[in-house]
Amino acid sequence: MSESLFIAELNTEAELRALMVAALAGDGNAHHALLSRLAVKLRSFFGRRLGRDAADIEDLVQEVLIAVHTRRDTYDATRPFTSWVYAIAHYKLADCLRRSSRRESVPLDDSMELFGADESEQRSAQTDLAKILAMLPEAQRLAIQLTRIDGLSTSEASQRCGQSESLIKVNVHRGMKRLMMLHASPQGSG
Amino acid sequence: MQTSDLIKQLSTQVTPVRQSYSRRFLLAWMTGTAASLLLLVLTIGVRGDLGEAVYTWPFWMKWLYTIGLGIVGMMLSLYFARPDNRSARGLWWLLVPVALLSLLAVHELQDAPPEAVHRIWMGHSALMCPWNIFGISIPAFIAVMWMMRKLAPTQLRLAGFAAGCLAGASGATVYALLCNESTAPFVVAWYSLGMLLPGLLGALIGPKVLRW
Repeated sequence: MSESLFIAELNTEAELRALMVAALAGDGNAHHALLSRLAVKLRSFFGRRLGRDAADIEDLVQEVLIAVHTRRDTYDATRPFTSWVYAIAHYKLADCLRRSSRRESVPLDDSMELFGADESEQRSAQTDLAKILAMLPEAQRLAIQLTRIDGLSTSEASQRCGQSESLIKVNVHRGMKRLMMLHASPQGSG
Repeated sequence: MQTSDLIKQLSTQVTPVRQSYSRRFLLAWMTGTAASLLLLVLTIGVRGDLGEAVYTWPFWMKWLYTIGLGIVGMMLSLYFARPDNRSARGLWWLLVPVALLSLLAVHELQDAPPEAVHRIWMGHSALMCPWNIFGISIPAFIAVMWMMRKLAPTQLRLAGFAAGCLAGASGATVYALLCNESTAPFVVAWYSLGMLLPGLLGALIGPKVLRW
């Protein structure tokens, strides 16, 4: 997630800064051109980091554009424009990841204890499955429950729980990955 | 909404940005500090001998200290209000006024007879002073945090701490209109604590309330 990569991708610093300076002076056309160009760059910036079809990308792009617009007086025209935009994009990305990780932040220690206790107590497979699924964030749990256990199609699941189809796919994917991680770690640590 | 529509909408009425964000922040800070002053006047009031006190050294010792810290707090707040400013190094500047007053405090204590030491440290209001400063600084705290949130901080904890220290220093400057303690050790201990409390509160709630 290097800043230089991001800057290299943005067109020349000078060009964008000129647009920004004109926009700050009240030039609507320059503002339009600036935001349009930024949107393209932001889309690929977030796409590379979240996976190409993650549902959050367009939301993030729009959030950054709005921030660039409403908080534009915090830009100092004597300093690089690209670092300013990068700082905002990076902040929004980190905020988005933090939000989703808060939902996913199952304390790993507890889950290990849970696995240990389960082994000795010989619970039924059904209970284990429910327990393991319960460690997932609600959205992921629901997506996996509906598609992998209840056997619904993606579109049926989407109608049932209100998540978009692409979000269902993303959540199943993330949830399975997380389950594998949760399952691997207690064994890995003995 | 489509992103292209959003861009169109944002570009229809682009008002020129004539003033820097620091003007907005200063205005919010002034309003908050005025409200803190009002709070002091309406609740506990200023000291009765304020007219004579402003000609004495202890009064100015307090003000130099709190205003000095306020200036550092203001610079730090404006620094952290920008998204591309992330370095915490500037926080060291807060220690400059503390160090200077500490030197003075050591000097005062060296000259003092042993039986006076306790009195020099504690004055007559040590237990109330930090809480009073904290309470008086609340209006300023709300104002600067509110404005900080409208700017673009990306280090929310540090931005909250800086804004909290600024509010604390403003509250302490106001509180000095009431306080009639006169020793440097008292000020360096209890004023500092009183100003630190809003700073810590800012650092504590910054990540939550400053999110944008």
